Amino acid sequence: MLPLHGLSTNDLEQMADEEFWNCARAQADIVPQISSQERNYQDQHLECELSQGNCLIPLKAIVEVMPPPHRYTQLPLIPSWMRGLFAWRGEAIPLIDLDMYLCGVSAFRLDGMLLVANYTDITVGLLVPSIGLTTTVQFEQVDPSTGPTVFYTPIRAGVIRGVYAEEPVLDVSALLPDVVQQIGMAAYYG
Amino acid sequence: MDELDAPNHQEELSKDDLEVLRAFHDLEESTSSDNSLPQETTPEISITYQTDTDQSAALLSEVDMLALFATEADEDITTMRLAVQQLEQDNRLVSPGLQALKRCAHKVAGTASAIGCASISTIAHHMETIIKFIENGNLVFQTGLIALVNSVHALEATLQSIVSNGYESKNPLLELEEEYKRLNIDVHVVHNTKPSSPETTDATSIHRVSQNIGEHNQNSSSLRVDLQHFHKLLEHTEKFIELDTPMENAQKQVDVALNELQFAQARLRRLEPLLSSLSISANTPPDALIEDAGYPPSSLVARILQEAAERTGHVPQIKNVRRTQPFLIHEAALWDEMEIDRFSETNALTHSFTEALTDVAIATSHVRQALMHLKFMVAQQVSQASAVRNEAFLLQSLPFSVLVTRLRTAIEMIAGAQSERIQFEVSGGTVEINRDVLEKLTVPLLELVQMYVAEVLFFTKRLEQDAEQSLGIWLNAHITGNEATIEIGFSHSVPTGAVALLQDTVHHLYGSISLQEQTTRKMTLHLRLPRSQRMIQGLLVRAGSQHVIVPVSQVKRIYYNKRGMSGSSSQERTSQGMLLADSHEIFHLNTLLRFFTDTNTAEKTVQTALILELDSPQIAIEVDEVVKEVELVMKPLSVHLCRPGITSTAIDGNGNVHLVLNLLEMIRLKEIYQQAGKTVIEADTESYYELSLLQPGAEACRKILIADDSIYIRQSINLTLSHEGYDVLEAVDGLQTLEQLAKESPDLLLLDIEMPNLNGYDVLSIIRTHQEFSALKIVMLSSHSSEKHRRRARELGAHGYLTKPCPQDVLFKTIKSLLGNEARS
Repeated sequence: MLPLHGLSTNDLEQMADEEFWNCARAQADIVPQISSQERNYQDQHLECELSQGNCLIPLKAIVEVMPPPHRYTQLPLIPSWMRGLFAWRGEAIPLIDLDMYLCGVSAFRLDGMLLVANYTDITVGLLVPSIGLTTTVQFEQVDPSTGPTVFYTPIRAGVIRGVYAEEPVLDVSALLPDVVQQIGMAAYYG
Repeated sequence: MDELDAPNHQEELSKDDLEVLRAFHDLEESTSSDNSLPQETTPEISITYQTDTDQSAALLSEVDMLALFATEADEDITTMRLAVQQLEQDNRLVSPGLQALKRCAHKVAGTASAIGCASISTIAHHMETIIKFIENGNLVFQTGLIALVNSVHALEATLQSIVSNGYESKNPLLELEEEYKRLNIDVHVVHNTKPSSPETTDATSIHRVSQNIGEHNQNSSSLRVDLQHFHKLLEHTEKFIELDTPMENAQKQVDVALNELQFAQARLRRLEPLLSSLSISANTPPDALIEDAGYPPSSLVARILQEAAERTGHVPQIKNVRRTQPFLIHEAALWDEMEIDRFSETNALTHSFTEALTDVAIATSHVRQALMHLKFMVAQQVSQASAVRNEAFLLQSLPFSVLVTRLRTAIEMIAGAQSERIQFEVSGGTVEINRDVLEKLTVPLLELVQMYVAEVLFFTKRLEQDAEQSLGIWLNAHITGNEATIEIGFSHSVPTGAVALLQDTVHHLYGSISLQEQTTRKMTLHLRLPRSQRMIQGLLVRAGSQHVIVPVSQVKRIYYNKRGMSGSSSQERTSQGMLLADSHEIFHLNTLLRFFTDTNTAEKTVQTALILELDSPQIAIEVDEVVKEVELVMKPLSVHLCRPGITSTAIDGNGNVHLVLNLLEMIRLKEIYQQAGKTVIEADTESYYELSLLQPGAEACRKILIADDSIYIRQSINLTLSHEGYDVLEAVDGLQTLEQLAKESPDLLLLDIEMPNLNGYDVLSIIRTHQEFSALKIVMLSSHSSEKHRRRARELGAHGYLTKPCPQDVLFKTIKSLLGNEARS
């Protein structure tokens, strides 16, 4: 049944055409409030289990989770943490070993999970050994001071938004552009 | 400037000097603050007196420079006025007036910008924009002409304000922009929506006379298409759609046949347990047969026989045995409904089973037929889809004759009165070639032909002896499968450097070029190019675990070491392998791709190799296997994923990504990277990286040639560089640049792009073909700031690229990085 927003069907019937359309326009102009469910989704993070510890990736940045097997093609002159290219929806997308990228070491296995992440027009595949549960983490709950105990290599500090429950929360808006920039630079510097 | 010191030295200058300084300093103050001349709002006068005589001289020279600019701009505006008059007379787009106007507008825009005359620069930019609109067909010629006339008036008025008042008036520009609005021209959108192609912006004199037929902008949302191709495309598309119904019918037939088969199989399955039970009965002893009433109770005959057996104790064993045989096919064949009593229920069952078997066989046959029909329909649909695709590609194609027309015009222009001496023959003019391919080939081909004609007509001494001998140029185009072949024949030798220019473009297009010298003075260039840049017809080759695609058009032949493969002695294999190694430079594909380095390639036996379509050096690429020939759609890679020689991928039906290798491009880039002394400078960002920076030897002298058609630019740079101790030379156009290069042998050339006679690219191309200029460092100095210009300059051998107006420190930094720190050794 359509929501009548406090009006009865009788009220609607008695309205003149002009009144009806004015009412309809007024209702159409009301900006819908973000539901708590939607807000909850915005804050949802996926826990990824890496070799040195877990990290959290915003769920809204993940377009698809692909189970193994994964096939990829090597590309020359790429960073050590890029495995190659794989086909996703008819396009060749870089396959990133997230473990290697963040920690500098990797127990590289192709039986891990592949997370297709997107930010603006950048799409990359993030290969992680395994994934865990989703967790709701609100912005204010993330502690921006990461501290010395965090496992990732210091040069990756720029792509970490902060720490929640001792797990680094990745900043996809910094991670993906950084990945793209470094892949581009590798073409010149190897 | 230190204003506190200024008054102490007032007495060192004369009254007139101070007046000049005061006036000019006002100008300078305004320029330094907003990079423009003072406007009509009265500037706040703040006089700063120079303490240094050099600085005074510099200021005085700037007054001279302003006067110089005004004089030069006046000349240019006069030329523009004449050009507009010619345009009005010609009343058509293809007019030398438009080109002269374009060149002058570009020059004025650059020079005015350099001196800080913002209004003049803006008006000139607007003129360039309007000319582009007219050329692209976005603006009606007459309307554009009115706008151009008004623009010239605005330029005159603005220049007059500078001369009369000492400052630049903004009013003419504002009035002009109002006029543009009245004419419904939005000059501000062009930079985003209509970036020009190199053919229009960097046009040489040859390009300027080129026809507009077929010219299109890749960024434009519209495309001019040939009506005939369009109708054919419609026709093929309609046929493709018409195939839908037969296809659906074929699918329905398959469904019906499958249902029929399923029904027959179900019937067979129902009969199976009954027959099984009969089979069990047949294997049981006669007593048991009677006792357990194994016969179907409904059978009257069976019951009579059973009762008789019970009564008499006689069991008709033989009959029973016969009756219980489950598969009495011959009895079933004798089935006659009128003699039903003769048969038992087993016979009926057997008959039904036989019928069911027959039904299954018939249904299977129907399925097979329906599948064959479906397969046929699918093939037809694929074929039709292919026809649609080909027609769509052809929609983007142009006849070869378009290029021929351009070449012919270019030859006529460069040869002038000697055009009659040139014999120009063409065949295959109607051959359709992809528009993108043709457009990309146009510039290097024009340059090649232009250089050939110029070389033979004007520079080759031997022609002085046989001046009456005619020159020949032959062109031929034909299509083989998905490949276009263009043959260009010359009656005289062509400078190999000129061929190299064309070679780069061809390699970039996944094609190949080979040179055949038929007699001492006849040579033919063979260009093999894919018909489309979207589809790749290639060889799927394996190197290690990697499968990649190599365009067929780049492979001359495939080398198989059959002896080695058939298991002959290792001596023979080595011998065979060494033969290839002797004649060819061999790379393993994986080494080329940098997946791993194999240093012993030459010592090992090469089993399979791709011999590239390359004359010199002869190159073989060793691969582990040539799997098959494929035709796939190419997907361009994102910029950050592109690698030398790898700019596209193809995804096969199984979802595997295959790199599409441009092997010739890979080889070329490999050679470039190996060259020493190559420096790439990105001056606008003031950052540069060096592949390998070579400092010049101590004995080198620092002579710099400035090639620019703007006298203001030339003299201002001359002043700056001379002050730093460099020996500076000047050239006003391309031809003079070449003369100066030959005569003076400078160390560095500052080269503008837009110049009369030969433009900057032409000069670069010619320099590249002459070995004696190999040590020359070239820095482009242009108002074109787009990446395509930078790339083209780099490809043609420029060492650096600066954008006008160029800050002094950037200019010095660039020059010093190329010549070393000292102006003089």
